[in-house]
Amino acid sequence: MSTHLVASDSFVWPEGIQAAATVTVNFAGESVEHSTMDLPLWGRNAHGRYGAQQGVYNLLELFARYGIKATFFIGGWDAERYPEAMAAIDEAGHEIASQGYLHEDFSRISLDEQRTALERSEAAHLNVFGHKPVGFRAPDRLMSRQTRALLAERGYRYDASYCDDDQPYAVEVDGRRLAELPIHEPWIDKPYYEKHRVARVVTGSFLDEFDATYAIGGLFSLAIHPRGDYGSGRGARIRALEPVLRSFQDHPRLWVATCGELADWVLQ
Amino acid sequence: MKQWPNGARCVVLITVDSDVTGNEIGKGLDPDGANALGAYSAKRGLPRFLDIFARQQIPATVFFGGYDAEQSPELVQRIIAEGHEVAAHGYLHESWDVSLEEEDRLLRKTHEIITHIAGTPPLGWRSPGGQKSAQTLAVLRELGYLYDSSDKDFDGPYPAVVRGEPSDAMVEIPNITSTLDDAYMYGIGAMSTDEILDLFKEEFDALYHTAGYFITTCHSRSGRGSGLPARARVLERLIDHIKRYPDVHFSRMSDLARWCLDPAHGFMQPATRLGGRK
Repeated sequence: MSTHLVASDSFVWPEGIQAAATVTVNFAGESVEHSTMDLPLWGRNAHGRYGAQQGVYNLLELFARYGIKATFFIGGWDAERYPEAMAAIDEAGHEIASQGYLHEDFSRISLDEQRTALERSEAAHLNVFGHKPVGFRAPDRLMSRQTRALLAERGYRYDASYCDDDQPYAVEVDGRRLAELPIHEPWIDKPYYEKHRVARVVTGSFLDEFDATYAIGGLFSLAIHPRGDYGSGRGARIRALEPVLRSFQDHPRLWVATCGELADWVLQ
Repeated sequence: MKQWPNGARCVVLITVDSDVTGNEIGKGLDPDGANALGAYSAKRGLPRFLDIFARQQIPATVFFGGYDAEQSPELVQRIIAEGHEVAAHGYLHESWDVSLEEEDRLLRKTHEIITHIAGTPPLGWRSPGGQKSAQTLAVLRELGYLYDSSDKDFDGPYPAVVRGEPSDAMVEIPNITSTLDDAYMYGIGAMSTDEILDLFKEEFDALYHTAGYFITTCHSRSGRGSGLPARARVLERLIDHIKRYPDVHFSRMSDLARWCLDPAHGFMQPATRLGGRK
């Protein structure tokens, strides 16, 4: 029997808590476009820029209104390109974590290239935010069998890319422990909006997903993008998130946490 | 005149394509990160489905790849122990062209694996990607299979076409694209749970009153499937909905295959539209 395919039954939430939720933002600025084409990026290649100069501010305003501390996954290249947006995120007290350097596909690059991308990302985060990231979500959550070991080796505390469980869990790699905070496709805005689904449908799906995940005591990780094409940064789509955040508030036994707080709980 | 078991007005087949990590490994992908969808099937999705079937007290048929069965033998055994059926679904979810020699080898290999783990040979097969070769059903028949469930071309069972001729020993039990939960619904279609439940119910209502034949295929994975809590709930709500109709008979695939293979029940005359089908 291969034990990695069996879920643990031993996980418990803190006293008085039934389930947890995180609000995560995949920043995915122009690094998305620039990873496959040369600058300049404009017109239909500027959706990432919409996110950096408009969408992210709309999201920050929304989070402030609902008292949400979110976790932002930001590529190093994007962090260096948009200093004003980075300062706004940081000053609002949100958690900042890594999403590689230039929107690399970690499932298709070599281990050395993965290491280089992490090094460049860490250097950029250190330069922009004054500290290295301790959390990671792979661009589009694509990663290889070795990626988590590499993260553990480099001192990361959590990954938030896998879709293989209902609850967080700890991974042991070479004597180091890494928390995994699972995230599932229907909790992400991109698959709906890249198919041009209306906001009403996305709200309904998020609410239903949250409701069922809460009922089983799982972790619900909302994952949104500030982008103009497949993201939630535009007005109608910001509005679509409000019932979800209101529903969080209506559940007193829900722990709305940052990814770092959840990792602390998993690793304690 | 076709007759269903128990004098039912409508037969209902609840089938699951388990698609654990073999699906990704077969494509050369590491089953990690966003590609860990299949691991969820073994850890959470399939146990969740089995709990639903136990609660609802209905039989189901689970299609398993040979590689996945090797990785999760305890799941295969749980399915059998709970009265459901395990059927074959490729070795590494081969949804691409393989040579005839390789196909023959993989069909036999998976057959041996499942027979060994389940303690009983699989009696049915469903192609992982929907395609077959000219020899596929002949090999399966030789191995003792009673049915294939790869086609999507008729509202009801009919004699399988083996080596170009309608067989009197093997039946085709087709599946339905509209009651499949994978890529076009939860993947490419990005449909929400309430839309999919409506779609499934709509399909059942229509089929109940016409062919009396309803089959659904759910995947127990995280994405491109129904393994997650909200989506598994859609499956259970569909079952609740179906149970509100009179004279419905839930069946395992192999039980229906045996029923249909009895000429007295009216399924072994080739339907006219399919008579010349190669």
